[in-house]
This record gives sequence, C-alpha cells and structure tokens, in this order.
Amino acid sequence: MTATDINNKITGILSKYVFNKKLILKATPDFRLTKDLKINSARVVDIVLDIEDEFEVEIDNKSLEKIKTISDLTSLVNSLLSAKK
Amino acid sequence: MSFIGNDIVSLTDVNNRVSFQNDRYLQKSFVPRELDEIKKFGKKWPFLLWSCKESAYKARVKQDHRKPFCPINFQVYHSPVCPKGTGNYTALSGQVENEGHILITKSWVCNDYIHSICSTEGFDGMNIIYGLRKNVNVPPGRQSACVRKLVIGNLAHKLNVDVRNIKIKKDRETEIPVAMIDNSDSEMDLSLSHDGEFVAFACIISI
Repeated sequence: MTATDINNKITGILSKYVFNKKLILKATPDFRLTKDLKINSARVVDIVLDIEDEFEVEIDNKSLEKIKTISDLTSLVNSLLSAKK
Repeated sequence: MSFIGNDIVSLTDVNNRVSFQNDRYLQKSFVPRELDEIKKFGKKWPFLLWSCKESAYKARVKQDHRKPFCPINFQVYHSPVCPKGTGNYTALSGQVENEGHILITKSWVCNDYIHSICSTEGFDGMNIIYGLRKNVNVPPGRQSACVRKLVIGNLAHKLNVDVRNIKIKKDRETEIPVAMIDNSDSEMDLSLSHDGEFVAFACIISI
C-alpha cells in the first residue's frame, strides 16, 4: 500500500466524522482532530476502531494517547503496517 | 490555582448510543472495573463515566496544554451509588484519577442528557456557576454560538454586567475559552461543551 493510499483511506475515515466538509478539504497533516477538524472527542475512539478495521492493525492505549493530529494517525498506521511485514 | 471542566452528553444522540453499545469501543475507553460497573448499573453508566472523564480532561488540559485525551487514562470512581435528586434528575458526586491527580466531579443524570462538572481542587468554598440549555433545531455548526450566548447571559446576570460588555474568546493555541469583560481578561476559569441538542458551561467566578 502506497503512502497516498494510506492518506486517502485515513481522510475517508475522518470525513465520516467531520461535520463541516470544507474543513477536511483544506486539512493539512498538522490539523488537530478535535481542535481543527472539530471532531467530537467521543468520535476519536470510533476513528481508531475504523482504522483498526481498515488496515487490519491493533492500536494500543499507549498509541491512542499520542493521537492528536492527522499526521499522528498517518505515522501510527505507517509504523503498524511496517511492523506487520 | 483551581481549574474547571464540564461535559454534556446527549443520551438521545444516535452516534453516542451506537458507540456505547460497541464492546470494542468500551474496551478502549474504560478500565475493567468501569466495565464491570457498566454491566452492573446499566445503559446510562458509560455515558456518565464518559462525561466525568471528559470534564476531568478539560480541567487537566489547562494544567498541561499538550495533554491529549485518552479516556482510559481517566479513571472514574463513584461511591456506592447513593443518588440524590428531586424531580427528573439524579445527582452524583465522584472522583477522577489521572496520572496521580485526583479531581472532583458532580454529575446530573436526566432522561435525555448527563451533565458533569469537574474541578482540580474540589468545589468547597468556590463560587461556581454552571448551566445548560436544550436547543431544538439548532444546526450543529451553530452550537458554539449558542453556548457562548448561554454563558454571556448567565455571567451578565451573576455579575450585574451588560451582556454587550462580555465576550467569550478562545486562546488561539490552546483553544481554552476566556471570558472578556470590558475587553479585559476576567481571569474567571470557564469551560464550554455541547453535544447533540445540548449546550452547557461551568465557570469559577471566584475561589
């Protein structure tokens, strides 16, 4: 899976939980999920579950507590996929 | 210095209901003791625990602005349930433990929402105001404006200040709300929340 595939899949998951779709269109990697994308914090756990399903990985609590930005999610997925190889 | 947080959880919001019925969601959000309590105390319990965790986070993040919200790291304790309340709500007191810090919570459980407020130093001797409003038919994007209006109205009444002289701003970096009175930071600690049709706030007027 290419980096673009990973980014597109993550963006697709996030867009389910972003009310204002304009935000996802202008999002940059440093956008914070709750502060900048205005995602309800209760939905962040849903996002983690969706990512686990989409990429067939498991995200532990230590990793969960480090997720603030889109970039954090992308890096986490990349490292989990690399570890699977 | 004492900090306050608050969180309102809609019990009728479909997304909330779906999430709190998902075992994997619960496993990521609650420790085994809390999961046992959810089994024991029923459907509203995960909503109550969540609102306590999030209100505690909102108070703690004022002590450490970089802290991300990881719900499982905020453990909620309620004394053997002895609900108090009249009319159509139940009031509960509790504690939240986070990385060695103990925070104090108060929660109100109703038919369609749970509202929790949390203080880093407890509530004794503090002049605190809090409130909520149900806004039927308010588009989701307008909730922030609604909660600001609610806070301004309450502060104006409490402080005997004209509503036009109160503004609610957010710190650009931390996004923590600040009440400005006559264009000066009032230094009152403020917390805003909204979920579904509900908006809510809590504010430390003075200690």
